[in-house]
Amino acid sequence: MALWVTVVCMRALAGTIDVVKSDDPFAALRVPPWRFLFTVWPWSSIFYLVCGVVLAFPTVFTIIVFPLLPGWAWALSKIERHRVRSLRLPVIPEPAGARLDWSRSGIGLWLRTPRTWREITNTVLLPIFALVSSPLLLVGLTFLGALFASPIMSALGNPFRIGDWQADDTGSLILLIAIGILLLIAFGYVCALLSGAQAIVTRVLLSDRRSALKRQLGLLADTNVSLIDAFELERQRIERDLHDGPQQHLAGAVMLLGMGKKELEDIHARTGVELQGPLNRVRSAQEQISHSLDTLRSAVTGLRPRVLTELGLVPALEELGKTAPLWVQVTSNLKQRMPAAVEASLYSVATEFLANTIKHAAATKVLINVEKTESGIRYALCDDGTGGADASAGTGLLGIQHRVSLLRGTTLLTSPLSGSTRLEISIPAPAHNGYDA
Amino acid sequence: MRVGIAEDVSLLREGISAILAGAGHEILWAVSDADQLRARFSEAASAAAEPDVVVIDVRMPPGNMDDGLRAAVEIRAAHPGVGILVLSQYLGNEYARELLNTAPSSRGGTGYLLKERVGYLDEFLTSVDTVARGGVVIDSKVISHLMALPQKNTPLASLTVREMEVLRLVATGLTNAQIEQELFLSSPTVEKHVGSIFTKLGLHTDSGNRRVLAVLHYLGP
Repeated sequence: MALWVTVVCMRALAGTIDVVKSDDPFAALRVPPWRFLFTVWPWSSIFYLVCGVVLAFPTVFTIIVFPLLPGWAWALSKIERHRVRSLRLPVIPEPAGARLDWSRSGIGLWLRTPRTWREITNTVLLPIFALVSSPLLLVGLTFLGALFASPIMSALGNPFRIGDWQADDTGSLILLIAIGILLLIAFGYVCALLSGAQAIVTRVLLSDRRSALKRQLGLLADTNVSLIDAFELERQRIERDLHDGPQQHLAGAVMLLGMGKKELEDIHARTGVELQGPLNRVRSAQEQISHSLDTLRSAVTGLRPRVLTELGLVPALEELGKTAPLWVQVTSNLKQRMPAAVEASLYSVATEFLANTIKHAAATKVLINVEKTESGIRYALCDDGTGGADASAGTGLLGIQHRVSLLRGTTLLTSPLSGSTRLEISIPAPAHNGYDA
Repeated sequence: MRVGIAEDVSLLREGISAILAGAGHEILWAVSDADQLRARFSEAASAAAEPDVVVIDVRMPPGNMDDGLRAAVEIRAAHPGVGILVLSQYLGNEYARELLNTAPSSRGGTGYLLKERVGYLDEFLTSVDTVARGGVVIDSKVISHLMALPQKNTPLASLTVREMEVLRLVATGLTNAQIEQELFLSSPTVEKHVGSIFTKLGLHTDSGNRRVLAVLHYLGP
């Protein structure tokens, strides 16, 4: 029994503590019924509705005394933006640059903005919600109060009665309390549903849509950057696994075969036994394995240049330049390595740029400059070709823009006809970039 | 000669030891990571206790990145007399270049071989000898990978086809005498080609080890 009480108390405590701020107005409805009463949800929902009913009185008053409505709508919206906090929802951000000034033109402008009318709509809706919630609260709280008060009332000689039946013995009192608890849970859920609905309406009407979209976009970009990071890590892992596994074993096999060949040669020299056949076989086995190592190596290089992983962007670009059929010059003031995702993206931008230059521009020279600045990284690629590159044509340049935008960078392509093509990319420093370096 | 070995895969470490010991070399030590490698050099009381050649795997613990090469670069700077033969799985020339760049005029030789080359015992032992003598050996596969790349506006572009051929053989560690045999040329001809390569690359007698510098040119900017 004592154990059970302890467990219930612990769970109750845990229930109240583990309420996290979420963006979901209906989070309360996801709590299972046996835990529901131990969380803050029923109480905060009831509190939210009661506040709504209280606020409905002055609102109804200002609706009747019509000229007061806009002023009250303005004030009420300020309260409403914060009132959702009692439902553990984040404060609804106020749209920027909306200060009311009391001059004639100021008021005129204020009346013309959609925001004002959304606030007024929200204000008018408040009494309607109160109309639904006040009888619910009144009946529900009274009835529940009577149920829970029944033992005290019974002791005072005024027992709970329905018709002829009255609760005067312990058994029926326990029954009443049990019914009370079940009803309280049901009542809590109804209140949570109602308050959640009201919070959604408030949020839709009062939030700044643009900032909400912006926040979502930021979240999306973060997800994408972590996606590139994940791909990058995966490539590195495959490369490492191939290096530590098959490549080492195959190199070991070539070595063992070489040692065996030497032993066979020694036997031949000592005893004169004819061993040319086995020796040839060993030699071809060595060749076969060497060949598969070559294949493996070129596959690994395609995965992710080792130089990029180990020495960083600039040496990797230099090597890339050496494999290209034109003269590539890389300059840089970088002293430190950049995050893997940035390095990988900038590297693939360079491969894309070179591919385009070689294919279309008839260039002989490409200059690549990587520069660390106060605000981030500036990356400029430039050729001496025939120009005319169009950012909207072909997937290559679009791919570049996409990669850069995932890092919240900007792309600028200038490619006049019969002039040199220049691609400039700025990537904000990691601190402004949504992930840690 | 005295050899040190740094290789994390025990099969290869023991195999290399056996091959070198079988060829009559003295194995001073064989370690399995870059830290132990550094420790062996800081422990060595005098140059006499140092190996003539160390065989180093590029990728080793603790970082499992290019730790071996980093250690090799440090050893090259602190002990310029020690020959360094680096083993790698990687076809690019960045590692070899970095090592050669550290001290182009150091007395110790430099080698860069793909790992499976160890299994071609004669070639491997010749390479170890060349590095011990202060020469440069670059794996022939790395060289042909380089050759497959287009030549651009470097001083190398001014070399004739024959001179490129000679330089390629210099890079794989051959002496003038061996180049004569390889290309069926007379000794004065080879000397003329080598001299012409040095001139075209702007390497004068006082530039230091001209063979190393020429190879460095060959490996890129």
